[in-house]
Formats: sequence, structure tokens, C-alpha cells
Amino acid sequence: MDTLLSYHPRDLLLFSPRVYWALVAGNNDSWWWLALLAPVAGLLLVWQLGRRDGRQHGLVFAGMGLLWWFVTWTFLWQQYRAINWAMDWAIAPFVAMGGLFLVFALKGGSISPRPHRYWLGLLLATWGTLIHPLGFLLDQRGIEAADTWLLFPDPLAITTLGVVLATLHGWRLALMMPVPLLWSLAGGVTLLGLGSPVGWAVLAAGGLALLGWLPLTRVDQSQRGTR
Amino acid sequence: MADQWSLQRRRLLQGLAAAASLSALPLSLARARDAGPLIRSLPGRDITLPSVGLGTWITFNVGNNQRLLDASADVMAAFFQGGGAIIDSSPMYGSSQNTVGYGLNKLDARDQVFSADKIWTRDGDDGRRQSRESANEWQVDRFDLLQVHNLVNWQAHLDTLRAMRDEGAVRTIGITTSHGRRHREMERIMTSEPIDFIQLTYNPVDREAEDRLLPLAREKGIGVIVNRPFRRGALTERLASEPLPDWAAEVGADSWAQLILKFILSHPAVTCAIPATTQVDHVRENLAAAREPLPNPDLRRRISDTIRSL
Repeated sequence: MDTLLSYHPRDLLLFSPRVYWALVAGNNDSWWWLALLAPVAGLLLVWQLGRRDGRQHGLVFAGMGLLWWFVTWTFLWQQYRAINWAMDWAIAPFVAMGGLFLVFALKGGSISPRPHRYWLGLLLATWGTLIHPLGFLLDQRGIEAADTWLLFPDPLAITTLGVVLATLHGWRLALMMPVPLLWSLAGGVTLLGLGSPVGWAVLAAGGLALLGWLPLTRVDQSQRGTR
Repeated sequence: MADQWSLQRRRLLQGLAAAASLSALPLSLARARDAGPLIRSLPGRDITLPSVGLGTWITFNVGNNQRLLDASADVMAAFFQGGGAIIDSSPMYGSSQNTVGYGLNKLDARDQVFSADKIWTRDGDDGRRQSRESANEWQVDRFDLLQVHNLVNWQAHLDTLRAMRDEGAVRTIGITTSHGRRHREMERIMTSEPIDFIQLTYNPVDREAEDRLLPLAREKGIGVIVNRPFRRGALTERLASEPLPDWAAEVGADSWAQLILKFILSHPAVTCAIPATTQVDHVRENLAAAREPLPNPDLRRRISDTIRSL
């Protein structure tokens, strides 16, 4: 353990910023229409969550489930795994996240009965879909390497934390939090190792979500069971 | 893979080719090509190696990106053209082994390389299978050197490697560490096990190896491969804004990188250093450092003191 702690995050990375951002740019190139669609889809998601109407959340969960599988296949499996063998450990949890979302889609959704969770969820969903991709302005990459939530795991994890905080509670929330939380930690440390200050933002988003998970406000009984 | 004769023949041909192209090269590079990198022999074995090799940690992990694969092959081409031979990789280095294989295939350079790879698995029974997979990635029949990476399960893997060496499935075997870690354990292995090479971190600011490991390697006739000569670029980045001292000219160093390499290579126990790079210019600069004159003990002290103080 002492040996592990003596490493700098940079020492634990297998690849350089040049290679990682080239990978991101290449994925954007392959799925350019999704990269362009991502902000619009993000606005739709935030608008849907902002309506405080759980009736459409089944559709949101279905979309999120398919998105987790899509990102797993197109980025983690086909691209990222080639330069980062640790992705072998991430594939199964990512697939499970997609599956859980699809199962919950059958049940429909609700609004979190704790107000702080709902508002933090809305903030994180806005952050993941609309703000995170602007991170390219803060480091050495260009807009061609901007990472959007429809294509890349970092903004998808932040967005997911927002969606589940705003819409789930109890054991279902507990089931959906660990994977995106752990990814926020891993993704944040990776970006810091790559010398990108966006890593701090990803870690902060994970920290906020963790804070939101705590029962900081009382249950709003009027929201219990809202569909 | 290279045997001694083919390495010497290649250096002769490269010398002739270099002479023909001298007029097109900067002076320092021309001198380096003319002389070729310093050659070191492994005591007690019929093996000689150019004293600057090529590491692949981080730099060659480029995935499936065709542009970056070709850029890595360009680095390898400059390396071989300048007289380099040893390339070092590991299953731990992502797609680096595949990148080396791509370069060797593209350059048709399998007979020019001294292939050094590693066993990196906790499973003591998995060493042979992993070495076969690695050889497939490199697109070579066998390795010139297989090392136990970071001493992971070294007892089991050294048993395997010894057997492979006896069978001729690998020419030489060794162990590695980095960042100055686990030197005592490495010393114990060097004392008790019949290994050919050790690999460790050594540079003007990381000098722990001088206390026991380097003298022991010399005493036992074990080759020494030096990793992280520039602390993965951090050292040269830190020095980039500092002017090179005038006295660097005494050993023909034109840059901090060359001064650092000359410091490393001037230790009599060191066989070669394996800086990693993505740039053709840096390959040439590194190879150009591997030539006489090298610093004497006074200048070595001066280099280390100066770099530590900056």
C-alpha cells in the first residue's frame, strides 16, 4: 500500500494526453452527428427533469440504459481498452448499469422526495450534458476533442449521477450510485494525470453527488410515489 | 532477432550509409553517425549492445491510431538508422508491444532489434503463455531478453525463465524495478540467482543504485539497463529553462538530455539506457550522446550537483 501511495497519478497512467485526446477526437469523428446532437439532447433531458413529472422517466431511463451500452461498446471496448487494460474491469459494471436502467424503465420513475437531491440532480445533469463538454477550453485540446455525454463516460457518469439523484430513492438509488461515483473518481484522477484541470471538476461532481446522497433534507411527502 | 554477427554487420553498413549522408546532417548528428553509439558488452556472454536503447512506456501506447502508429515506426526507423538495437516493452504497457510489432514489420527490422520484454502476471504458471502472447504482439519468434517486471512473483517466473533460457526459447533473462523501489530484494536476487540483466532507475538525481546494486552488477557480470533516465521527461522539462553550463562542452553535450545520458553511461556498470520518446529528433539526440568523451568522476559529481540544485 505504501508503495502504491508513493506513485503520482501521472505514474499510474499508461498513455499520454496526445494519445488520449486523439482517441476522443477520433471517436467524435466517427460519431460526429451524435457529438452535434449531444447539447440538444442534453437540453431535452434537463427540460424533462425540470418538469417534475415522473411519467416520462421510463423513457429517460430507457435512453440512459441504451446510452451506457452504446458508450461501453463504441468507446470503452473498441477504443479505450486498446490503450488502457484496466478497462477490462470497467466493462461489466458499465453493462450492468445499462441493464439496470432498462429494468427501471419498465417500472417508470418518480421525483426524488428529498428536495436537495432533486435540485443537485438537476444541477449535475446540466453539468454533465451542457457544461462538461466546454472543458476543452481549459486545456490543450481543441473543440474536436470535446467530450460529450452521448459518446464519453466522464460526462455520462456526471449526467447519470444527476438523473438518479433527481428521480430515484431508497434501494434503487443505492444501486445506481456506486458505478458512476467510482467512474467520477477514476475519470477525475485520469484527467489530472493527463494534466487537465477538468479532472478537478469531475472529482467535484462526484463529491457533490456523494453529498447529495446524504439525507440532508426531510422527505417531501407530497412527492412520494409521484409518477 | 539479432545475433552478435548480424549486429556488427549492421553497424558496419550503417556506418557506410551514414558516411554517405554526412553532408546533409547537423554537425553533432554527423559526428554521432560517424562514430555510432558506444557499444557495451555483457561480461561472460557473447553479447554486445549499443549503449542507448529505446523504451516504450507511455510513448508507444498509441492504440489503433494509424497516424500515431506510423509516427512510432518513424521513431524506430531513426533509432535503427542511428545504430540503436535494444527496444524494451512489457505486457503492462497497453498497446506498446503491438506498436513495436507494427514498426518491426513495416521496417522489416526484425534482424536489427535486440528484443527485450517482460513477464508481468501474478500467476506463476502463466509466464510462458504470456511470453508467447507478447512475442505474437512483437511479431518475433523469440525474445533476446525476458525480464520479471517489477519483481512480480519473481520466484516462480525466474524458474520459468531459467528453463526457457536452457531450452533456447529466450537468450537472456533478468529482473526489473523502477523509481528506486525494492532495491534490497533486487540485491538478494542478484546474489542468489543466475540472471543476465537487471533494469533499474538511475540518473543524476536518482543515485541510490550506486550504493550497492551497480557495484554488485559489475562484480557478478550482470548487465544493467537504466530506465527513467529523464524521470519520464520531468527532469528535462524542469531543466528546459536553464542554460546549459559551459563545461557541458567538455564532454560534447549539446543539451541537458545529452548531459544526463552521458552521466548515466559513464558509470562503468551501466550497459545501456532506454529513454522513451515520440520524437525522431530526440532519438537522434539520445544516440548522439552515446559517444566519447564521457565525464570523469569529478565532472560526474558536478553534473549531479548542478542538476540537483536547479
